[in-house]
Amino acid sequence: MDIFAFNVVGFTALLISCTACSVNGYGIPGSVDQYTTDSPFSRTIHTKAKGLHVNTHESFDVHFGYLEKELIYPIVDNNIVCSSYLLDGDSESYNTEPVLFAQEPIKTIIKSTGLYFTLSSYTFGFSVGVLNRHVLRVNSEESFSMFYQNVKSPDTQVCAVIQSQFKGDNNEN
Amino acid sequence: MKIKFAGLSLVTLLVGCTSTHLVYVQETSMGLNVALSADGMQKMSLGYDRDVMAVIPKKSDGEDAMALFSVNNVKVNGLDNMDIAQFVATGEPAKKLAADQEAVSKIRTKIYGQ
Repeated sequence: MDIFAFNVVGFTALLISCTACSVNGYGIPGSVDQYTTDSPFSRTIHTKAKGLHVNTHESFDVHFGYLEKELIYPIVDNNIVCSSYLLDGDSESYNTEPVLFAQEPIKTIIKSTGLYFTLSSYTFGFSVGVLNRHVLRVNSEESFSMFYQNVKSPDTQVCAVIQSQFKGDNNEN
Repeated sequence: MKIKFAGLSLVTLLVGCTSTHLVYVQETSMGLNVALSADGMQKMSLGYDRDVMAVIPKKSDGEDAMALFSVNNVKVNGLDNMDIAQFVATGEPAKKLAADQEAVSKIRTKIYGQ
């Protein structure tokens, strides 16, 4: 009986894995949706995945179930502060020339239902069930300012700026 | 045996590291949740758990521990639904803001919507 039950669970997992699996945002249409939103003040990489999803960017993640993930990369600029963006409220008045994005995300948002495993150079995590995690992580040698709001607006508003000597990638690469 | 050794090595490696990053975590979980971080966060929970935690890197005498200005408005609507309005600044931007009462007041109004 136990062997039969195990086989049913294993077979169901195998079926789901085969019909909805993805790697680094690529997979069967409908099982994964990954896109990047760039603004003058941040870059956000959104991922939504169903079934089995494996990610090898930034960290090694294995997820089974439903996953929503956002990685927010700040811009590197010594002249902009997010308080100005917040108080002025007019993002279009700022310079929209190519900006420099930091290499590491400043904020990671994970909504996971199912099984989630993550391993990177600085963290290890394992979750079974429902997980909603917002992590703000920044090098203490750098100054930064950030505004994040996911309410009272049709779209999430994000501004993230790091004042640094320099660590980043040009978005034109 | 090998798996145990690898697990212990991983835990030792992560826990033994010195934090160089400021970390601020808001988390809600239901089920089994295990997290280890080189920044100093270690947790394991079973069942429902709600955590807000911060890890601030250790500094030596005379060093700025990290000036921080923060206004947060978080509304937890459910396990997978949090409304967040958050402003955080550190270092020079934080020091400048703290000295500007008008700006502080406006930011509070913007975050809390009053």
